[in-house]
Amino acid sequence: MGMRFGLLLLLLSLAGGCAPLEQVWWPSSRTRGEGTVTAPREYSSEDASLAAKIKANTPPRRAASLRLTEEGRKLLDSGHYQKALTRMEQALAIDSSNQYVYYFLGKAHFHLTKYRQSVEFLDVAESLLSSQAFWLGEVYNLKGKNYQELGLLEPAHRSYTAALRLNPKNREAAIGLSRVQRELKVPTVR
Amino acid sequence: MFDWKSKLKSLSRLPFLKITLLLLTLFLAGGAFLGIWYIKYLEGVVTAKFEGQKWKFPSKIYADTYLIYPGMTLGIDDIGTKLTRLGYRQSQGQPRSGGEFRISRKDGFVEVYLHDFQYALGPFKGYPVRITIGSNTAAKIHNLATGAEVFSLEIEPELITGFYDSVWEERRLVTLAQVPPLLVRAILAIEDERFYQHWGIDPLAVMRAFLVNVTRGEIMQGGSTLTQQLMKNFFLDSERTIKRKVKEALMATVAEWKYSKDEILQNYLNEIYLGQKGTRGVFGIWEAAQFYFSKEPRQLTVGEMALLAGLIRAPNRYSPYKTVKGATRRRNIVLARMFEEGFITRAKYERGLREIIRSREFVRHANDAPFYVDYLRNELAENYSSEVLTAEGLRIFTSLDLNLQRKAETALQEGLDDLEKRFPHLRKIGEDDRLEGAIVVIKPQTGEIKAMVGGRDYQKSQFNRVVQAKRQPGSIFKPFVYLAALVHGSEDKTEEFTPLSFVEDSPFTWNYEDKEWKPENYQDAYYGIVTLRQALVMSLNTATARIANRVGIRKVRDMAYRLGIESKMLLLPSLALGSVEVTVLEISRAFSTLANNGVRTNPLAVKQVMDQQGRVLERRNIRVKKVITPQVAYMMNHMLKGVMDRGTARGARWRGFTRPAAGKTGTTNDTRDAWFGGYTPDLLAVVWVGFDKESSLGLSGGQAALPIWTEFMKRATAGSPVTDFRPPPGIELIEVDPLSGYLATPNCPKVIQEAFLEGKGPKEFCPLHPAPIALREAAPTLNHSSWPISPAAR
Repeated sequence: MGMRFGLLLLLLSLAGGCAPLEQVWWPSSRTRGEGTVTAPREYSSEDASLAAKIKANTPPRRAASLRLTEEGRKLLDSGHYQKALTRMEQALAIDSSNQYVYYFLGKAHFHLTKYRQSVEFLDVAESLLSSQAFWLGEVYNLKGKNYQELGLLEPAHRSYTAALRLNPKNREAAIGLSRVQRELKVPTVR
Repeated sequence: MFDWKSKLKSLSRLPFLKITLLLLTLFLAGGAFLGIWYIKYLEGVVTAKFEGQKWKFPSKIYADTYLIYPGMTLGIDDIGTKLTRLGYRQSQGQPRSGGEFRISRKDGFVEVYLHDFQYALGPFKGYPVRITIGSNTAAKIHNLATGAEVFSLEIEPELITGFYDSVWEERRLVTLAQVPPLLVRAILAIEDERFYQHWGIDPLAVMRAFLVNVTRGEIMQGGSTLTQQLMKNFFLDSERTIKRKVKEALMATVAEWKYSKDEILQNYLNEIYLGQKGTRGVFGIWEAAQFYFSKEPRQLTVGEMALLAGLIRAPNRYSPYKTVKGATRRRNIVLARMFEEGFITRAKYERGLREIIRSREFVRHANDAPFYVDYLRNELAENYSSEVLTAEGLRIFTSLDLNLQRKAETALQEGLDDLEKRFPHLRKIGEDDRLEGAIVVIKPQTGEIKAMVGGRDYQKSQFNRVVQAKRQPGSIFKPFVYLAALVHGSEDKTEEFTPLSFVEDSPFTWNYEDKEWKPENYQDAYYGIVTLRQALVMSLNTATARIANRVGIRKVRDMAYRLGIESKMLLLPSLALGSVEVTVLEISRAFSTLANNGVRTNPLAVKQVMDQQGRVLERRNIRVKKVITPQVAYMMNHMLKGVMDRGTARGARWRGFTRPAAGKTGTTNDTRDAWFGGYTPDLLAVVWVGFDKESSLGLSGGQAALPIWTEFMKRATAGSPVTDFRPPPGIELIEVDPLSGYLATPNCPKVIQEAFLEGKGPKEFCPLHPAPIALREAAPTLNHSSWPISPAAR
């Protein structure tokens, strides 16, 4: 028993001998703290598929960009807005003359509630799609929705009106316009 | 008889013995007290490590992804080089697992089994694809697993570098469940076969090592257990002293007492050092499997597992990157141990022996974009502290294109060397003022910064001249004056400007706030009445100043702000000639607005930041703002194309850059700064050349900066399809006589095509070179662009 105790003492004292003096007398302040460490919409025949716009003579860049835009559009329809945005950005990087991608970038930003950035993309889309009545109507409609979300009722009214002028069957624009008109007629309280 | 002598002796001995025993007991008790205290202390240290942050994870910075699509320009060697840089290895047959590829030049295809990759928007599961390549073009891509055609293929981004503290430890954590049991057995077989039997130290292994060392007369073997090795790696140095060994043994015992075998093993598998790739240490099983075999641990073969286990003893000695023979010998020893221990069957053992270890070439990853990385660090500093960046293993995805980056760096270095050779006065021997330069490359449509070189040699000077140096832009500022003129007309609203409006180029004085400003032309050469186009193409100072005077300097300044200049600009007439200090990046941003048809973008370097768990901390998207109409932007681009084709930048054409491009040279007073900013519709680069101490270059932008830009653009655009600026609706391209500014006739000796806003072009024919009467009479019914102009006249 005594021998075992002696051996234990010997071992422990050996361990003690390994301890650096500063650690013996000043319990380490260094180490104490260490380690405490939306429902899919239906498209008219005009915008059925962007991939359908790819013809035999379409330049490869354009074709790739349109395909990516189409992929992005499907992602938008399935509610994957951020993924859609990334696809659209890739489409834009490949071919910036793809005018549709600006519209869909605007749409992705709209769904991500970045309304001002959406309007910026739609401004570009507006100039690039000026000769395509259907798409221009879509641009105006989406602009109207953005302005409405931003509480800018006058520009929203103008945009919806322009959208309906280009496509009188645009239901979204018609509904948007009637709402905006209703709101605009509300007398302001002074 | 009283034995007084022995009595005295025993009496004298007894207290001495007592005192000695007492002192010994006190000494041992003191030692024991110290020992207990020290063990408690070690327990605290071990616990803190096990339960706190064990490792620092450097943040990794990635270049942009690489998108391949059918029809794009792509050489077999390009893709081969790219895949090798990404750590893919060539296989003999069709790639069977992630990270393999093969090239068939004869049949013109590359087959790749893509790596899995954790993108910001979710994990990507690798699959095998074949890219058929014909005439340097990706003809077709299809999925080898399903046979389906693939229309765009995203290759994972290349690692540029990392943000790390002092040592870059490359490590990815695994749980024990993610490591194949056979790999664990292989490690135990060769490193610590009695791991599950001992309690931190293995006396048997110590004795065996002792005997070997005594027999050999030197320290040949250690009897360290895995736990001891882990303690050594966590806390201690590799000094071979008794004191260190005792401490290691004590800590190992404490760790075994506090933690389970599995916890210790998992930490070991993540901690262990397994090799070196350049500046980066390879730590842990996952990283080693990637480094040596481009595989995840679960994909390893028995031979590969044995090789990894064998590497632990001396990773750099047995590395297959260094010696296939040595690596094979070591692997076979491990396989034999595994077989002896009964961990593998004879069949598996023999299969493992038959596996051929292929010689692999190590792709050294140097930081190819140090200025870019410094720029990123500054960009990230707002949201992430240095501690976070160096320890929390963030993954930072950027817009850098390593290919363009290398080309930009080469063009700048070679260009500056060449300038010093051709103009020896630029080589200032013995002075601390070396000829310097900077180049930045931007994709105009997205604002992505694709390359950035902030100086000639990062090792000598880390001063980033793209973003840190503010220099006068000189004539490179002039496009803002002309743009303001095209957009606003004269200040008094009496005059609208077109590219063919006339302006006088002669000495003049601009009076303002009781002061005078007298601009002068380069070499005092004046040309009289010139068109706006001529004034811009020839970079005429007085003509430009007169235009600014008519438009109003405030409108000029506002235009520069609108396009993207952010530095403060005082409303002084000399602003028209660029007497303001701006950065290279600001000029690039403003020029990219022109290249992007009037749409301004924000410079984009950081695209996404993810944490170690794959959560997106930050996402920066492309931001745009339409600031001028595409029609005016087109008119401007059309004029700036003239600078390239006929003006101060025509040297680019002599040097062989023939693509449609627009640009402007810039030279400041006393030729202290030489600039060139130019772009194709898809790529923009701005180059600056000068001395940090603003010594005179004695060279213009066309002489000093343009050659660098030209060499870069030639290499950067080689092989890509030629594109031109496309006129937007509302633009008329009309053939005119550049001298008169009127519609060209067949008699005009020189004819150019000019861009006008619809209805704003000239309506009358050139009075200087009248057309034959018959044609003139027929003219009202003819389209002006249908004059039968002879090719010679064009």
